[in-house]
Amino acid sequence: MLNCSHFISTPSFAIHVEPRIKFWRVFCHSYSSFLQPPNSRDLHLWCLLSDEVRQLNLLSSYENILPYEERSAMHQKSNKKVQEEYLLTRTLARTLIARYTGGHVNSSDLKFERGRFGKPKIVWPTESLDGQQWTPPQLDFNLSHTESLIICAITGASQVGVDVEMKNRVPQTDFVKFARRKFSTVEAVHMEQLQDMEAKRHFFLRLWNLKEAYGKAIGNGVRQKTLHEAGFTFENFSPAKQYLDSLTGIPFHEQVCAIKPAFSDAKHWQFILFLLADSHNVSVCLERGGDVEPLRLQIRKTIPLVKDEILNNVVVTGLSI
Amino acid sequence: MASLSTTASSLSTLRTSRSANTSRPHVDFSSLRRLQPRRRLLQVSCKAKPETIQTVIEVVTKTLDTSKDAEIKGHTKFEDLGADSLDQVELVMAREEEFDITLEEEGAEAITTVEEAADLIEKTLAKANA
Repeated sequence: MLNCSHFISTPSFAIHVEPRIKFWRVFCHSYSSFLQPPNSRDLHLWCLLSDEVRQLNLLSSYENILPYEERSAMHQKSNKKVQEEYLLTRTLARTLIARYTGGHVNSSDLKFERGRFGKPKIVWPTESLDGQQWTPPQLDFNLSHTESLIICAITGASQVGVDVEMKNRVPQTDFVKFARRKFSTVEAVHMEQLQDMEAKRHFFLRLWNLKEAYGKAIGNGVRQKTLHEAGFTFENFSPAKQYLDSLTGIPFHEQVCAIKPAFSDAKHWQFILFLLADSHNVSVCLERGGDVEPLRLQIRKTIPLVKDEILNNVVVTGLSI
Repeated sequence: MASLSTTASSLSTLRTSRSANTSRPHVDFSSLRRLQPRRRLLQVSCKAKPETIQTVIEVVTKTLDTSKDAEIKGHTKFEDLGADSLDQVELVMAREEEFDITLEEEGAEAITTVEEAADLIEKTLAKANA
């Protein structure tokens, strides 16, 4: 369970216990900080902890951000947890994207469309709030969540996919059989060769993490084809210098590995694996143009409408060069 | 099912006629057919056998470990169970194992409720046994 104490907080202002409306007025103007849009070699990861939001009683304020159709859709969900996830994922995406427009678009006015398999994409207005012609930033985004954590990945690259799983997740079905039936042959063979169940479980989840991120980046979701054809192997990585030339902004785990995607499309995609607060594994798949610049990573924790904080307890555990 | 009172009154208005060559009365059923109410909506969800639906409920309960949550019924939507994408793929696998079939992806994607899952399973079984 992700705990607030896992993150070193650097509050820029205290949270007052005051009636909700006053609370809103005190903080919303100081939070109107705009964000510099990322370019194609920037990857911004934003994390929202559901517990923090609940503790601050922000859910009804967030509801006000959603447009009418989304609010209705939210209330039609019968499961409270599913309802809350719906609200928080959309609040996170809307508030962040609006901040990247530098005030040109309100979070409530943002429009999205869905691709063939459901991947959401921003539909920018032709005019900004002040009625002027405006060139929107090139942005792609993707969301993922566990019970306690929601992540939004935002980049200037054309496509991104993100997946987060709890590190201690135990699949309920026979995952060795699952890998044999659904994953690539090479992966299934490697799974059989691993000695203990814990190593097999770790390998399975890591593969799932990467395949899911890839499927979400290309907008396919995790289809049978993706599971079978998007294969990966891993190698030990040395020396560290190769990493420093490829990625900046986040430190590396001492046991970082090289991710070797083994499918035809692979050279267009870069994969990164993170361990977050020693409790969550995050994978990102990013479209790679012809750029050879290192990828610049930035990971922050945010409470929409309240504050952002730098996240310190994150390490890279895998990278494709 | 048409209500008993409707059936009774429609039967009483049916004309019987004797054919020239047989001694049995012929009953004109065309008017009875017209009186049957439309029940297309019900037909979709009642296609699967109750036993299949029950087995699917058991598989889902075991896979998602939802013992602490609300009871799962035929009309329960998978989305309302808070299943993420790994759960959903595991659910498909679990159903394939339980019924010893392979579920086609296009069909599996269209499923939203437990009943629809049971329906697809029966269709797949019927195809396999044909």
